[in-house]
Amino acid sequence: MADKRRDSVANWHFSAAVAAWLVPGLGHWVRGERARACILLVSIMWLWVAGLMIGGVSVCDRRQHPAWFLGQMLVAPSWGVDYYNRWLMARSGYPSLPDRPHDYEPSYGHVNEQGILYTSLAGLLNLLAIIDVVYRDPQRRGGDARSKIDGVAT
Amino acid sequence: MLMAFQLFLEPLPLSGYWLYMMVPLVVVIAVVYKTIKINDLSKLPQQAASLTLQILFYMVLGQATLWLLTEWVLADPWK
Repeated sequence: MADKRRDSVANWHFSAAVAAWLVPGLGHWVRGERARACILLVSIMWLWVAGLMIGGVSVCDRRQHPAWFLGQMLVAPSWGVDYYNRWLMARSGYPSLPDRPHDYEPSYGHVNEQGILYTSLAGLLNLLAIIDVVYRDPQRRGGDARSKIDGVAT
Repeated sequence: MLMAFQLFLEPLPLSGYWLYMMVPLVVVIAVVYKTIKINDLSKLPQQAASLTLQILFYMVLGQATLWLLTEWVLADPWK
């Protein structure tokens, strides 16, 4: 009976889910699980930023690879990167012509693939975090790890 | 003329190391999965490390199996 009450839609935490989508880990922070939030923020954002560093901002392009963008968009800042990439390409006159070289070139090959893979997996891992924060009750999980490490009773 | 490298606008020169970039990817997957699953976060490092090693082991095992399959089982023995 208690499980059914917990799993009902009324007990789901949609605002925490939106927060988790905007910033990975923020949903858990809002729910009071600070240590878990910090770990998720650092790990997911590191993966996402590493993907952008490896392949450049052109890895987030929903017109070139819409299927991969379905994963990337699960981290909200990917939308901003996609718009920025399209702005850069429009400004630089992509594709270039021999007599009109441009100062911005999207990446290609292995580095582009790795960047796309990193950012998409960051989004999918954030989806796990979002699903976790939607209906999990921190009190039923035994409290945050900080309380266990510091020896403070929850 | 030497052009200044522009981070995030130009890709890093890691084309030759793409296979090794799987390792940090697997580490992060293990860390995030265990962070969500376990209740006691003090056990996270060892559990994440264990899961990382398992994933890498089975990736290598799968690759070795596929290599054996293509190079020995399916290959033409008379070539």
